[in-house]
Amino acid sequence: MVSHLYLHIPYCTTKCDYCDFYSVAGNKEVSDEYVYAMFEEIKDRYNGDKVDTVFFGGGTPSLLSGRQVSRILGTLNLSVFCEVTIECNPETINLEKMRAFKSAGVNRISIGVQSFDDAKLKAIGRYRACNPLEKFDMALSVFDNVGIDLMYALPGQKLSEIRDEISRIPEQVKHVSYYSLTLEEGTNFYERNKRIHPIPDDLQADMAEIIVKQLHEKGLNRYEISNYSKVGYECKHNLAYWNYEDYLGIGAGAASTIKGSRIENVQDIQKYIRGNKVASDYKLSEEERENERIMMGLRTVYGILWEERYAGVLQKYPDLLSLKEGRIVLTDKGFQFHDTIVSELML
Amino acid sequence: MDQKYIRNFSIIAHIDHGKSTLADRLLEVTGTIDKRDMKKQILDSMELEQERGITIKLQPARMMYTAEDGNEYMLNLIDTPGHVDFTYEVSRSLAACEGALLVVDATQGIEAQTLANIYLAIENNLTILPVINKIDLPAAEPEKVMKEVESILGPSDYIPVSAKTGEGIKNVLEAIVNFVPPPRGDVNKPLKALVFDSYFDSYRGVEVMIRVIDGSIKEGQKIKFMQTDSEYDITEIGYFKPNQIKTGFLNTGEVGYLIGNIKNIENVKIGDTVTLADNQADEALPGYKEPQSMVFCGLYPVSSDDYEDLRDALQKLKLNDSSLRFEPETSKALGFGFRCGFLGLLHMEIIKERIEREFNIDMIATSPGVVYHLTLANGDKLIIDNPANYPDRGNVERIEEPVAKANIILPNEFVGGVMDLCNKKRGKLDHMEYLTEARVMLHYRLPLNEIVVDFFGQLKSISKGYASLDYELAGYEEAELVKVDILLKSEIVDAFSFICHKDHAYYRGRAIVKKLRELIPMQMFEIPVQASIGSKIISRETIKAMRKNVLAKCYGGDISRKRKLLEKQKEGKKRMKSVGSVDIPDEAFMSILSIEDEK
Ligand SMILES: Nc1nc2c(ncn2[C@@H]2O[C@H](COP(=O)(O)OP(=O)(O)OP(=O)(O)O)[C@@H](O)[C@H]2O)c(=O)[nH]1
Ligand SMILES: C[S@@+](CC[C@H](N)C(=O)[O-])C[C@H]1O[C@@H](n2cnc3c(N)ncnc32)[C@H](O)[C@@H]1O
Ligand code: SF4
Ligand SMILES: [Mg+2]
Repeated sequence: MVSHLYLHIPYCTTKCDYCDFYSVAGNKEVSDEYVYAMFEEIKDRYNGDKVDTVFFGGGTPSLLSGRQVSRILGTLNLSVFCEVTIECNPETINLEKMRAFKSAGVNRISIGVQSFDDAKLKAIGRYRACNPLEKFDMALSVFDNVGIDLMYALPGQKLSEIRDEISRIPEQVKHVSYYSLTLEEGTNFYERNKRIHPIPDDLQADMAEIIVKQLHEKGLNRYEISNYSKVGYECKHNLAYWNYEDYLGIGAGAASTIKGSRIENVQDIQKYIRGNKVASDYKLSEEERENERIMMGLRTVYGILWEERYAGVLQKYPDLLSLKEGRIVLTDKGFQFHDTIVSELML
Repeated sequence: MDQKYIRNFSIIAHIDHGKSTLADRLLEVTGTIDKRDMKKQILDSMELEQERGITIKLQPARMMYTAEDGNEYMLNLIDTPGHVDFTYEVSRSLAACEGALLVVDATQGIEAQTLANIYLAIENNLTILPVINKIDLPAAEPEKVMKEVESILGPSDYIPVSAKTGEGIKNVLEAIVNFVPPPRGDVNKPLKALVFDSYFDSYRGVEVMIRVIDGSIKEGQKIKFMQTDSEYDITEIGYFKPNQIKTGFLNTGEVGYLIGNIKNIENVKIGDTVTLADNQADEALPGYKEPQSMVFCGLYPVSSDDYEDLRDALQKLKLNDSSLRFEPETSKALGFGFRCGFLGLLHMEIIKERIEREFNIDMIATSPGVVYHLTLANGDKLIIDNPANYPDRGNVERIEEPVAKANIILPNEFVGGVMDLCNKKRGKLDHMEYLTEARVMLHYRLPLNEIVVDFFGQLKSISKGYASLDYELAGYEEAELVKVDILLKSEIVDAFSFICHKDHAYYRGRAIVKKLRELIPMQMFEIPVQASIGSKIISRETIKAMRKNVLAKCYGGDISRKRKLLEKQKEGKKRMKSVGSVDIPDEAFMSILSIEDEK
C-alpha cells in the first residue's frame, strides 16, 4: 500500500544557476499534454489506495493552473486529513491562483523565497520581479499552512544578513526550509564556482547555529537538518521520506520507492509524454535499504531505533549522538556531521 | 627434436623500443598464434602490463619455424622487460639462452638500458643480433643508430625491421636459425635444469619454469631441487605457447614448465638446479647472483586483520619475483607490517599494486628510502633500512650513504640542464664520453637516495624525454645526513620519518608538512602538523577542525545518489589508516615523493 504521492512538474520560467533538479526553463505554463501523460501514469501505477500526502514539487508546480491541479487531484482517493502541498515561486502566484489551488484541494503551500535580498538572488542566477512579502499576505489570507524556502551561505553573505533575513519571515509562517547553498555537479553554478568563493565551512556552521537559535525564538523548531516548523506543522510528506516509507513518484524525473525497489522516471518530458516513462527499476539490496533507512532516519529529531551495533559509534561521538527513549538521535551539533556519523553506521 | 634444430634467445632492449611488439610479429609469422587470437603485446599477459603498456615479467614462448634451408626449427623466445627496475628478469632470461635479439629503436638510438643489456648479454656469452626497429617511422635513422651500436659491439650486421608492419621479420627468423648456436648440453648426462622463474597457482601449487641444460625429464619422474634438497613427483610437464601446452617431457636445450604438487613455497629457489632423484647430477649449476635491493619501504595492511594474508601474499609474490625482499617489522604508528626491499620505485609500485589486485589486501606503503651505514660513538656499527630506527643524534659518529654509478645517455643539447640537475642532487661527474657527435654519455656518482626521490621524473622533463638513466650500486660514502621527523598532534609518526642531506632537510621538512596539510582531510579536531630535527621544530601547519559534513537536502528523488555518496565516504575512510586518532590516507605516506626541489 502506497499512501504518499509525489508529482513532479519539470517546468520553470528560468533555470537558476545552483539548481540540479530536473526542469526545463522557458515555460510560463504546463502543457496539457504533460498533464495527460501524468494521468496515464497514475492510471498505470496507482491502485486507488487511500492517500495521506500529496506533494506537487518541481520545477515550478505553481505554473500549473487551478484546473490542472484540480483534475489531477480528482484522480486520487484522498484521505480525510490528506496533506496536499504545492511548491510556489512567488512571481507565478496571485490571489486568484491561490484560491483556485485551495478549492482544488491544496491545503499547504511553500513559497520559494530563497533570499529577501534581490542582489543575493542575482548572484546565484535567480531572478524575481515581485515583492515576496506581498505574496505572503496573499497566501496567508487563503491558507493556514504556509511555508517558506530559504537558502543561506550565499556568495558574500554575512552573519548579520542572516539575522536580518530571519527577522523578516512573517510571524504567521508555519514552516521554514532553510538550506545551505550546495554546489551540485552539472549546474551552471558548479562551473562558475571556479570564480565565486563559497562560504567557508566554519562560517556556514556559525550561520546554522544562528538559524536554529533564532527560528526557535520565533516558535519554529528544527525537526530535520534543514526544516523547522511550528508545533504540529511538520511536513507529513517529507517525514514519510525520512521515515523510509514507500512513495509513488509521478512525472518526468520523479523517483519512487516501492517494496524495496527504486524506480526512476526518464528526465525527458517528450519521452515521458510518448509513453517511455521509466528510466530504471532497481531492486535495492537488503544492505542498501538498511543504509538508506539510517541515512534518512537520522536526518530528523526522531532518529532511528537503537540497535546494539551502534554502541561503538555512540561512544566515539558522545557530543554528536544521544540515546533518547530507545532511539538514537543526532544532537544539534551532530546534525552538522550527519554524513560522518551515517557513513560510520552504514553497513 | 634433435638438439641442433633448437634455438633459444631473449629479446632485450631499452624500455619501449618494441620488444613485445617484435615478439607479436614472430609469434604471428611462425603461425604460433592465430591471427584472430592476436592482440597487442600478447606476451604482456598480466593485466597491469597491458594497462601500463610495459613488460614487467619475462615471458617465454615456443615457436616452430621451417627455415629456408628446409629444416624445421624449434625456436624458444623469452620476452624481457626494458625498465631498469626489472633487469633481474633480463639476467635470468639470458641464462636460459644462447642468443639475444638486441632491439634498438631507429628513432631513439642507444639508450641507457640498451647498453646495460648489451653488457649483460656479453657476460652470459650470448650471440647478439642487432635488430633496428621502427623503420616505418619517418624519423627513423637505422644507419646512424647502427653506428652507435657498433661503437659498443664493434662492426656487426644488423636487421632493419618494423615490428609494427612486419617488415623484415622473416630476416630475423633466418638470422636466429643461422647465427644463434644450438644448445650445447648432453642428453645422455644426468638431468640438470635451471630454475629461472616460478609462480604460485592456488590449485596446482608452484609452477616451475626451467631450461634443461643436460639430460631429459619426463612426467612421473621424481625430481630433486639440489639447493633445498627436496623431492617431488612430476605431475605435469610441458612448454609455453605462450599458454601452457602439456607434452609429458622436456629434452636437452628445451625451455618449459613443470608441476609437482609443490605446496611448500620455500622449497623452490630461483637459480636452483633440478635433477632426477635416482640419477643425480654431481654438481649444481652456478645459479644467479642475488640482486641487491636498492629501495626499502614498509608495507602495512590497512586493517591489522590482514597481516597474515599479507605475509602469505609476499611469499607467493616472491616466488614470481625473486628480487623482492621482506622481513617483519613493527611501527608505532602502523602496527605490524613488513620492511621490503625493491630494485627501484617502479618495482615497489608494481608489487604494491599486485598485492592489492591479486590478493585483495588494502595496504599502506611508507616513504621509500635507502640503507645507511652508521658508526656510533661507542664504535658500534649499525645498518639502518628504516628511518624509524635511527638512533639519537648525539650517538651517531659517522653516517655513510649508498652511492650509485649512474650512466646517463642523452642528446648533447641537454647536457647543461642535466648537469645542473645532477649537481643539485649532489652528484659528482666522473667523466663524459661521446657515443657519436650528437649523443653523450655522462658518468656520474650520485647518492642513491637522490635517485630514488624523483630524479627520473626531473631528468625526463629537463631532457624532454630524451635522456635515459641506468645505475648500479657503487659503494658507501660518508655524508652529512640528518633524520627529519614528522609530528601529528605533537606525536612523532614514525612511518613519516626520513633521512636526507642536512642542506635539504629544512626545505623538505617544510614541503612535506605543507603536503600533509593538503592530503590529510579535516577531522573532528584540529591537527597540528610539524617537522622536526631532533627536538627542534622546523615547520608547522595546522589542519583546522571540520565544522560540518552534511548534505543540506535529501528527499525522495535524491536517496539513491546520496546513499552512494555516503557509501563512498565510508569506503574512503576504510582505506585510511588510523594513527593515534588521526585518519591518514595512504597517499600521504608517499608524500616525500611528490615534493618538488627547492628552486
Ligand atoms: N611505429 C612503430 N611503433 C612501434 C614499433 N614497434 C613497437 N612500436 C610501438 O612502441 C611502443 C612500445 O612497444 P613495446 O613492444 O611495448 O615495447 P617494449 O620494448 O616491449 O617495452 P617494455 O617491455 O616496457 O620495455 C608501443 O606503442 C608500440 O606500438 C614499430 O616497428 N613501429
Ligand atoms: C528545486 S526547488 C523547487 C521549488 C521552486 N522551483 C523553487 O525554486 O522554489 C526546491 C528547493 O530546493 C532548494 N534548492 C534547490 N537547489 C539547491 C541547491 N543547489 N542548494 C541548496 N538548496 C537548493 C531551494 O531552496 C528550493 O526552494
Ligand atoms: S530552483 Fe526552482 S525555479 Fe530555480 S530552476 Fe530549480 S526548480 Fe526552477
Ligand atoms: Mg615489452
